[in-house]
Amino acid sequence: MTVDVVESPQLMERTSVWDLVRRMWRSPSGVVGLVIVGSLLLISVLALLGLTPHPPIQADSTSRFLPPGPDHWFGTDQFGRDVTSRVMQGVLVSMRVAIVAVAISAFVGSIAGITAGFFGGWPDRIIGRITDTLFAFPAILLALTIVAVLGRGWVNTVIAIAIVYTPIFVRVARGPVLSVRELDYVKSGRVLGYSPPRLLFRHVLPNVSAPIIVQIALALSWAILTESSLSFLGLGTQPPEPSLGLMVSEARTLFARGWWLMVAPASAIVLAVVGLNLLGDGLRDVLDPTDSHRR
Amino acid sequence: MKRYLLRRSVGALLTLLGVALLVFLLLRVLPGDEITARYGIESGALTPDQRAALERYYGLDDPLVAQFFNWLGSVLSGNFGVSVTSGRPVSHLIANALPVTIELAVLSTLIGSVLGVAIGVMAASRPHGLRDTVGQSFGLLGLGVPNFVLASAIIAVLSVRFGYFPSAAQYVDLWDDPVVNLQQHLYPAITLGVSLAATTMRTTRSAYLEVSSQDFVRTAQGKGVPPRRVRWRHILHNASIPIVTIVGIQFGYLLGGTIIVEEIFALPGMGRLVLTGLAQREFAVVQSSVLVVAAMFVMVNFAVDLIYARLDPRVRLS
Repeated sequence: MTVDVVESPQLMERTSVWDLVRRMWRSPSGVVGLVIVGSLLLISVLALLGLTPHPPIQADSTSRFLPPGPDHWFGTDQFGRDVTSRVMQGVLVSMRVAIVAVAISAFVGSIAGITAGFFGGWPDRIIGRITDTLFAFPAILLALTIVAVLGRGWVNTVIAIAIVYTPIFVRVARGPVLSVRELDYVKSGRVLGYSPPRLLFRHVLPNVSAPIIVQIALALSWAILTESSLSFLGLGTQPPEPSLGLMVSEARTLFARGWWLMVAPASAIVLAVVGLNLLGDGLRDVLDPTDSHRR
Repeated sequence: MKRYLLRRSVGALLTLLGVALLVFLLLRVLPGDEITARYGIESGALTPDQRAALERYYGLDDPLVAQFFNWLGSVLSGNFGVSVTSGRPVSHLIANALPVTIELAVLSTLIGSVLGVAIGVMAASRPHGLRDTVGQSFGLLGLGVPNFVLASAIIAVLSVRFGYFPSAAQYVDLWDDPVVNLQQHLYPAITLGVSLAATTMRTTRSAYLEVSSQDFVRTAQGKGVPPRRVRWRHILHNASIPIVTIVGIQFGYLLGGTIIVEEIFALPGMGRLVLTGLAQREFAVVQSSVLVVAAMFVMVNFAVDLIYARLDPRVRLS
C-alpha cells in the first residue's frame, strides 16, 4: 500500500501547506475535521491569552451550581467557578500535552524508523526489538507505569505519552523507507557520494512524509484520550489547574446537582478526538490515493 | 510453517524478556522500596544496621542484575513473591484478579463484535445511504467517546436513577452467583464493547465493500440467490479475515485496557491490582501483574496470526 504512496507522481512534486488545505477542503471529513480542530486551537489561544469569560480558578461561594445561563454558558461548579472558562483552559492543557508529546514522538520515532529502514542490519534489529517490547504493553498500562515512576504533573504526562507513541512512528516511517531506498534517485544519490544525512533528510524523508503526517493527526487524538484518562485517574494535570479528565471524574458524584458539570468537559474531549480523527481521515484521502476506494 | 512457529516463538520470548527487564528497571527507579511499603513512615526511624539487615532480608543489597535474574527465575518457577501489604502470595492475588479481567474482556468482545459486525453490514449494504450515515456516525462517536467518559455517564445515571454505586467489597464470583456476577459485569462490558464495536464496524464495513464489488457476488445475485443469503454467506464469509484479525487484536488490548473501567466500576481485576500496587509501591505485585498481562497480550497476538493463516489458505507464514 505504502509503496504506491511514494511512487505516486502527485507526491513527488512539492506541495505547499496551503495547497494541502485547499485539497482537504474537498473531502467532507477533512472539512469537518479542519473546522473542529481549528476552533479548538482558537479556544486554546484565547485561554492562553487569558481571554476566558471568567478567571478559570477563581472560586465564588455565592454562585455555586448555577445552571447554564447568559452569564455562565455552561453553569458553575461546586466552588462557583465558571465551567466555560474551565473547559477552555482544560482544552488548552490537553492540547499542550498532546502537541508537545506527539511532536517528540513523531520526531524521535521518524528518525529511528528512517534510520532502521535505510541502513538495515543491526540498527534495524535493535530498534525493532525495542519497538516490539514497547508494543507488548497495552498503551494506558505503559503510560500509567511511567507516570507512576516519574511523578504526577503535565511534563511527566508528556514524557509518558511520547514514550508510548514513539514506536508507532518508528513503524510508520520504516515501512515506506524500505521501498524508497531501492528507488533510482536514491541509488544515484548514493553513487554521487551524498552523505547519509543528506540522503536521508533531503531525498528519503520528503517521500515518506505522507503516512507520517496522517499518523500525527491520529496520534494527537490518542494523546488527548490518554492525557484525559491519566487526569481522570488523578495522575495527570494537577488541581487547581483545570483538566478535562479530572472534571469528568469529579462530575460523577455531582451529577444529580449539575449535569452540565459532566456534559461540558466530556463534549470537549469527544469533539477533540472526533475532530482529529476526521482530520486524519481527510489527510489520508488527500495524501494517499490508494486508500480512496475505502470510502 | 514449523520454521515460522519457531521463529515467532523465539521473537515472542525475546519480547517478553524485554518487557520483564523494562518493568523491573522502571520500578527500581520508583521512590520507596519494599521496606517503606512494609513499615510505612516508621522506616524513617530505622537505624542503619536495621536497615541493612532488612535490605539483606528482601534481597535489596544484591547487585541489580542479580536481583533481576533472581526475580525472573522465581517467576518462571511459579513463585511471584509475596505482597508485603496484604501478606498474601502474589500468585494468589493474580489468580483471583485474572479471571475477572478475562471474563470482562470476553463479554466486551462478544458485545463489541456482534454489535460491530451487525452495524458494519448494515452500513455497507447501502453505501452512502441513510443507514450508512447512521452506521458511520456510530463508528466515529464510538471511537471518539473515551471509555472513562461513557463509564462515568453510565455511573452518573445509575446512581441518580437507581441509587446504585459499585463497590469492590460487594463483588460476587461467577461460580457463587452467576446472575449477580453478570449484572456487575454488564455495564463495564457495554462500555468497553461500544468502542470495540466502533473499530469492528469500520473494519467490517470496508472489508464488506471490498468483497461486494467482486465478480462472484454479481454471479450469485445473477443466479437468483436471495439477498440475505448473498449478504451473510457469500460476502461476509469472504470478508471475515480482517474482521477476525481486528477482533483478536482488540481482545488482546482489552486484557490490559480494562484498567480504567475496572477502577470506575470497582471490579477487582488485573487493572485494579496494578493501580493499587503502584500506589502502595509493591514491586512484586506490579512487576508480576504487568508481566502476566503483557505475556497474555503477546500470546493472543500470536494466536491471531495463526487463526489468520488458518482462515486464509492464501497466507503462507514464512
